[in-house]
Amino acid sequence: MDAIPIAIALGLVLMAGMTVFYSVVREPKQYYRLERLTYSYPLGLAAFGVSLVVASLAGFRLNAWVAGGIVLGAAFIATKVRGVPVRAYWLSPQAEGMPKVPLTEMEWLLVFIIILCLSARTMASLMTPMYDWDALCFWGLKAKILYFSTVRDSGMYFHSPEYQFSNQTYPLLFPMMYAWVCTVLGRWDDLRMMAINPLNLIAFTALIYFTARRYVRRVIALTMAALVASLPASIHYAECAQADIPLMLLSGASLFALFDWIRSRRLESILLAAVLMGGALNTKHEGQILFGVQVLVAAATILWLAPRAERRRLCGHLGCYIGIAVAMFLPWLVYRSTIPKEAWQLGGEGFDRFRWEQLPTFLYAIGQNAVHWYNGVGLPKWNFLWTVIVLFVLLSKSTWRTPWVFLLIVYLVHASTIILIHLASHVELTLGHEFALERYTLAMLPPLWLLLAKCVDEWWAVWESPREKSPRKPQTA
Amino acid sequence: MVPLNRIMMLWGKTVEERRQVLGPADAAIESVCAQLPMNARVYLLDPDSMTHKHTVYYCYPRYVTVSMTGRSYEAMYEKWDERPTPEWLATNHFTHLLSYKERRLTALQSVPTQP
Repeated sequence: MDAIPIAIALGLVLMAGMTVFYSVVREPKQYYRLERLTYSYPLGLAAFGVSLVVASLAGFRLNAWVAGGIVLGAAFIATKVRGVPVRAYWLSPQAEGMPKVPLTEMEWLLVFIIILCLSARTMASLMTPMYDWDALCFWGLKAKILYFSTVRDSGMYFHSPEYQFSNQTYPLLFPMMYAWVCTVLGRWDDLRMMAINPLNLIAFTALIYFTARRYVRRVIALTMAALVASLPASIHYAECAQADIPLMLLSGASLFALFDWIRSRRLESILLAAVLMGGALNTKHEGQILFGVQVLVAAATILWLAPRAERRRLCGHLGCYIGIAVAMFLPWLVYRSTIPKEAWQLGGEGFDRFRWEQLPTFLYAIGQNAVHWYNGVGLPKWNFLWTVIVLFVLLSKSTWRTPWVFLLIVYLVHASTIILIHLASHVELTLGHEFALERYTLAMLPPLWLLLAKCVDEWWAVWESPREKSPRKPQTA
Repeated sequence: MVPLNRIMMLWGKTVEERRQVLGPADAAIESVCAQLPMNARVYLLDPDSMTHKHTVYYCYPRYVTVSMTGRSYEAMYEKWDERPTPEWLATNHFTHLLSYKERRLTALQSVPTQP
C-alpha cells in the first residue's frame, strides 16, 4: 500500500504551500477556490523543498516525522497568528461572484481532452521507472545522495572532478522532492517517487486555466489548458524525471503572480511570485535567467506604467521580491561557490569572446527545433504550436498593448539571454543540441501561453455577434 | 512516446521487466549492483560513459570509482588507463573489482560490517 505514504508525502508538500498562501494572501477571494489550492502546490515545493535543502546543507538527514511535525507546527502557528477561520478562508467563493453558466458542448469536449491527456500521462508516469540518461546521471544520483546521506557529508560527489558528469552545480530542490517521497515511503524507490512528476504538469495546466480565465472567455482558457495538457514535449518531460517541468511550473506560477501584481499592484501577489521564484532559482540554472528577466520587467512596469506618486511604494514591493527570492537561493549559492569552476559544463570563452559567427547556425538550429515534428529519438515535440503562436502573436493588437506586451518582452529577453550564453560557451550550436533546446523552450513557454490566450480571445470576439459581444456574458470558473 | 503506447508497452510487467524494456543495459547494471553489500567500495575497470555513470547511480550508496586520482574522463573515456595494483586496492579498502568488458565481478576482501 504505497499510495498512502505517497499521499502523505504530497499532502505535506501541499499543506506547507497552503500555510504560505494562508500567511501571505489577505484577500483569498481574489482567487478561485481551486486556484488557491493549485497555487499552494508549487508554493509548497518551493518553501518546503528549499527548507529541506538547507537542512541537508547543514548536515541534517531527511526525517519524515520531524519534517512533517514542522509543517504541521507551522500550519498551526499560522492559523493562530492570522486568526482567520480556515474553513471560510479556503471555501469562500471568488469575489466577482459570477452566476453559474453550464458548460457548452465545446467546453465539455475540451474538459474531456484535458482529463484524458493528463490521466494517460499520470498512468504512464506511474508505470515508468527512472531510465532517462540525464534523469539518472543528474537528478537521480543527487536524489539518492539526499536520501541516503546529506550534502554536507557527501562533499566528494559535489567537488571531485570524477563526478563532474552529474552537473555538480545544479540546484537540489527537485532531487530533494524525490528524496522526500522516498523518505516517507521508507525505502529508495525510483518508480514510486515519480508520482510527483505528473502532478507538476497537472498543477501547471490548472494554473494556465485559472490565470487565463481571469482575462479571457472560459472556452479560450480551456483551449489553452487543453493545448498544455496535450503538448507532446511537455508530456514527455513530465514523465522522464528531468527538472524542466518543475521549472516551468515554478517560474510560470511566479510569472502569473507577477502579472497579477502588474495589473493590481497588490503586495501579496508579488510576495507569492517571490516565493515561487525562490523555488525556481533552486530548481535549475535557468532560474537565474528567469529571475533577472522578471526583475527587469517588473522594474520596467514601475517606470512605464505606474504614476510617479506610486513608484516609491512599488519599488518597495520589488525590493521584497528580490530579497525573498535571493534569501531562498543564498544557501545553495554559498555552497555552490565551493564547487570547482571546472564543474560548469557550459564553461566557455567568456562574454568578451562571443562566437558571433555561429549565430546564424544557432538560429537555424532553434528554428528547426520549433518546426520539427519529431526529435532525434523519434519523440514528437511541438505539433503546430509555434506556427499558431507566431500567427496569433504577430497578427493581434493585444500583443502590443500593456500589460500584455510585457509577456512578449519576458519571452524575448529570456530567449535572447539563452542565445547569448550559448554563444559565449563551448557548447555545440547545431541541432545536436536539440534536447537541451527542447528543455529550454519548455521554461520559455508560460508567458506565451498567456499571451496566446489573450490573442485568441481577441480573434474569438471577431466571430461573436454584436448582440453577444456587448455586454459579455459573465461565466464561472 | 505517446502515453498510451507507453502504457500498453509496460502494462502487466514487473518493475524489472519494465526496466529491461526501457533500458536493457540499465537492468543489467542494476542486477550487478544488487549483488553488492551496501557498504561495498567498487573499482570499475574499462569504463565508458554509460557504464561509469549508470553504475555510480545504480550502486549508490555503494562507492564506485574509475580513477585512482579522482580524475574526470568526461568525453575521453577512450583514454582511460588506470589499472590499480592489488596493493593500492587493499590500501584504499576496495572490496570489489568490476569489469563489464570482461564480464567479471571480483570480491577483493571481506566487507567490513556496517557500524
